Amino acid sequence: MRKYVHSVLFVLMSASVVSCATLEGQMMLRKEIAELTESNKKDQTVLVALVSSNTFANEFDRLLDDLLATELTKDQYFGIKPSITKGQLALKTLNNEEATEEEITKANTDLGNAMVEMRRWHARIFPSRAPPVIPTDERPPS
Amino acid sequence: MIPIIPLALGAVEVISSLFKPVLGAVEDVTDAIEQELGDEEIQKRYNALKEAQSTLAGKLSAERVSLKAVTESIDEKIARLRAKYGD
Repeated sequence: MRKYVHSVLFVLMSASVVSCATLEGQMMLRKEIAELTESNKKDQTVLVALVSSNTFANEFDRLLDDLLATELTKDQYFGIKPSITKGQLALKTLNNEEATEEEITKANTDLGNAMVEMRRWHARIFPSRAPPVIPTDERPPS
Repeated sequence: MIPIIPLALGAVEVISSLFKPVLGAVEDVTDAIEQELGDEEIQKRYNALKEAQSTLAGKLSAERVSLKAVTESIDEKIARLRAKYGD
């Protein structure tokens, strides 16, 4: 009888040890998944901003080609210059791998805003190349 | 001028397609735990999650490289403009 009870207790204890180990393993896994998911969220935010920034930056680069290929007046150059500087500063942050996701997101917005201003100036400098219909909020400054 | 809206929409599609595998992998592992599947299955799905994340990290790295290259080109052109028109 005693032997039987010992066997049952042994089986129960083993099952409980296995069960605890499994639970502990699953808790660790859950913790790791939570961490991975958190880091993944940051990667996603940064990736979205960088894809968008790359699009803006390529447009920025081509716009500079246009400016270099023509003779600007001082007014035109010093008119568009603050937007160029703003875009360049934003790119500096976007290229900083230590920047936080908030800083990256803000820099992407700044770059987008700088591009809107640069597009307006581009349309003023090259009126024939401006899109046929410019939305109201994109009209060149008067 | 560059057609920015179609490009942006294209980017959103690309990004969505990038995240799907990772989000799916997170769900797979979570489901496996919730359904109390065996350790082997959970581990298998967890490995898939890590692999999907690694792919995402690769895409992020590629974007950084691309942005760095275009930034260098921009910096060089701005320097030429400054040399021509002054600071």
